[in-house]
Amino acid sequence: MDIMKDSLVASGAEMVTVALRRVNLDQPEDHLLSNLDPKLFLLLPNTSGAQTAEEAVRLARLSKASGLLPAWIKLEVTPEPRYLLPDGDATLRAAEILVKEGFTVLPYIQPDPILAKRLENVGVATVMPLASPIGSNKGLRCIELLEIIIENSTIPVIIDAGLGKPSDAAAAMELGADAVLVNTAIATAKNPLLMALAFKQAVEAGRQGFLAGLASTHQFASASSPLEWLSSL
Amino acid sequence: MITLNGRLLDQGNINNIESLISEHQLSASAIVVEKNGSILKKEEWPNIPVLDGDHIEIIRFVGGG
Repeated sequence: MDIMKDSLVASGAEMVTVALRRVNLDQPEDHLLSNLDPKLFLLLPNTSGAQTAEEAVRLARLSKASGLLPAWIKLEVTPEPRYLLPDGDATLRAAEILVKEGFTVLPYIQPDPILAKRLENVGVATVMPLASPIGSNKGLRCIELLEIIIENSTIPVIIDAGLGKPSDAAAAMELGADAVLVNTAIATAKNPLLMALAFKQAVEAGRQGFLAGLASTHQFASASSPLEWLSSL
Repeated sequence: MITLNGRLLDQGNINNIESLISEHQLSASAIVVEKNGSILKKEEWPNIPVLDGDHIEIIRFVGGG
């Protein structure tokens, strides 16, 4: 728990996701919420575990009913456990219901620009396309699609899932993403605290690179100083 | 008998949600209770009976995504 807290602080994270689960009646003590200072992080409840739109809506309502956290919900609907890929249809249906109920909805999606736009049109607060399957650490595998989502989106785009190393996070931010969501790469690192710091620096570097405007790429060499007088010798 | 978090239990002398929560030594501030599919408001717990055949879920936040 201490390593987690220190790593969260080192990462500079502003939001931390939390899930809803049945209380284990044999071990009822769990101090997650009392250990995470809500003044340091916005705790973002998610619908992880939901396999259908209905289950996701139920989890969102339970979270709101707790009165413990703001009515924000990271909407995830993952019907199968092997790849945990989100179900776009179900996510869109659940998002419509939850937006109408006043939730601030942050949906986890595959990098599908059409779905991202449909979600934006029903009033979600962000879209959270995946870089690669959650926990896979494979990095950005659909850069072109993410670029289209970022270009067309008028709401923030958060790259979620699969970012395995700091350079992946830097690359995502260089594309113009507004934020990244990272857990596995830090939580399972040999030194989570140092990895959290590395991700923080990578995110900052990538963001600054994006804001600075990346130089264009070319097929052939391009000298940065004139060469004409040399060739005339 | 009631079903609590998927487990069949003898309800004993528990007659409302509030006593069920204190029986299991749970901190009321950190949990949400659902009875037969409906979410219960905390202030209603003392008035909601626990009856034979009820399905009750007690849920809390945990870390993770």
